[in-house]
Amino acid sequence: MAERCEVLRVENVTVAYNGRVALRGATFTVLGGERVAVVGPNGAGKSTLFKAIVGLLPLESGRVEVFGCDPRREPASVGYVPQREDVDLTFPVTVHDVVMMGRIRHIGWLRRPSRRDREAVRRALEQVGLADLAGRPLGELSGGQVQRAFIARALAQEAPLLLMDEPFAGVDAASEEAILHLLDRLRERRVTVLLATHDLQMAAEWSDRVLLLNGEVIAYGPPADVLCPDALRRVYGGQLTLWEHERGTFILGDGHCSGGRR
Amino acid sequence: MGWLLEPLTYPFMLRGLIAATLVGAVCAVLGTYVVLRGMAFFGDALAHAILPGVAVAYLARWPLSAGALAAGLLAAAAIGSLQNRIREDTAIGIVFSGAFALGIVLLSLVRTYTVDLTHFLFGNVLGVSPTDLMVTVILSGGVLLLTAAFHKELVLVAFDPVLATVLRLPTSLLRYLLLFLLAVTVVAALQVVGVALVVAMLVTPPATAYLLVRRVGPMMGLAALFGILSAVAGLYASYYLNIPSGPAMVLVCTAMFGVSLIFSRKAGRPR
Repeated sequence: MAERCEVLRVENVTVAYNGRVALRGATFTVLGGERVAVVGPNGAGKSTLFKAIVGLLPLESGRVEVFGCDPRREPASVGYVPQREDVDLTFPVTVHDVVMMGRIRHIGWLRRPSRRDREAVRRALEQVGLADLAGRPLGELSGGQVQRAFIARALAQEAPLLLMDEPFAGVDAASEEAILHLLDRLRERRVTVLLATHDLQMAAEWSDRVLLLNGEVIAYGPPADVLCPDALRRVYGGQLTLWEHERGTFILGDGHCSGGRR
Repeated sequence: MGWLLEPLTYPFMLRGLIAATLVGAVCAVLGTYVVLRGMAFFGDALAHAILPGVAVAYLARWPLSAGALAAGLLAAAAIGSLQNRIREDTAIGIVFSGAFALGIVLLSLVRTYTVDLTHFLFGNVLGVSPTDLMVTVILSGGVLLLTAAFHKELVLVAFDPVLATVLRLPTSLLRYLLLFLLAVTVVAALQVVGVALVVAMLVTPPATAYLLVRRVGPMMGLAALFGILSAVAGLYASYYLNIPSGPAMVLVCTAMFGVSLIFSRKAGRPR
């Protein structure tokens, strides 16, 4: 894979959600291997953007291209880890079964998993540190472990572009550690990652570029340029306390966030 | 052993046994999806909604299964299209009771009304003709084949429709496939347990298996085993105790569920 090729192009995308426009005219491109943090207050359109990219929400207008193709026609090109909302934890599946579901397009119609598929599942589970729990029923996992299982499922899909929606929301310290470690491994493998987060600190430290959203794209660029006091005040208003000190700007709190990384 | 083999010397018992075994297995296999997706009410409704189709076919002397299948698919489509306007369970309730009432009115036009209605409601496994048996074999075999072919996709759509959409699986097509398979299964089960009790054969064996195992595959296999056991046990009970066979099978199912409820330590429950 050429490193600096364009992986994702979002062009003038407008998405309505529950009858109201949640994202208007979003335009940006992401290059291969980049790490993009998507930040903005609640309701800024972070999840909406991801859902539009993977085709869960219809576009009112605009275009999404992954590797120059419409992702609607490329079944496994985008891995998506949704916010942990309504997973049915009573469903009789093991962690292994859940991760294997990410392989369904590789396996193909009318076929059973091959050795390659099982190998991919094993690797994905190792990468998120759940190899020991492969045979465990999903319902017996902690919240953070469930989150890691769903990340493993996206990894098993072997997609070159990964969208993660608030992966740190409500997870335990061990899972947070495992996910952070995994994100570093993904960088080594040049997997392009878009990560939605409430955590501006994390966005600043981790990302190559930050996409600041508030119903539309407010700013997009290197963290130092985007996470400047002016832009943040514009988006967060009074919800954010900024403390400008001689050693830099300190973000004292995003009063609107709940369950973000502590 | 004599008491096991004796009934089978009658050809009608042998045919009944084969039909009951097949229906017990197919209902349990399809019922696994029904339980996992929380579609029990839908299955019950579908069974009742095929009555007008059966009645029309009966009056016109067409094959009953053809009429039943047509009505089942029509009802599934009607419920599907109403869903956009009103809540799903309300849509099911309206279509199901309306169709059922229509079926009873149509059947009342027949002279032997009560006898026939009883057969459709509670099945008549001992009245399975060689032709009926062939139809049951073909329908059950078809359902099992299609289920085996699309099992992993059907499970994914049941567990996580979001991932199914992200991976561009044809989710509505798979949903319709399941409804179609369910309609065919109900038709196959019609003669064995009747429309009023089909839902028990669909739901109870998989629910019993759900309490005992933790993966979809084993759940389905165990459910099929329970379905077959209760169909066979019910048939023998009906023969020796002179009780109706459909309800006897259902009662065996219910008893098995009760026993597994006692032995299961599982805390979770399906939606």
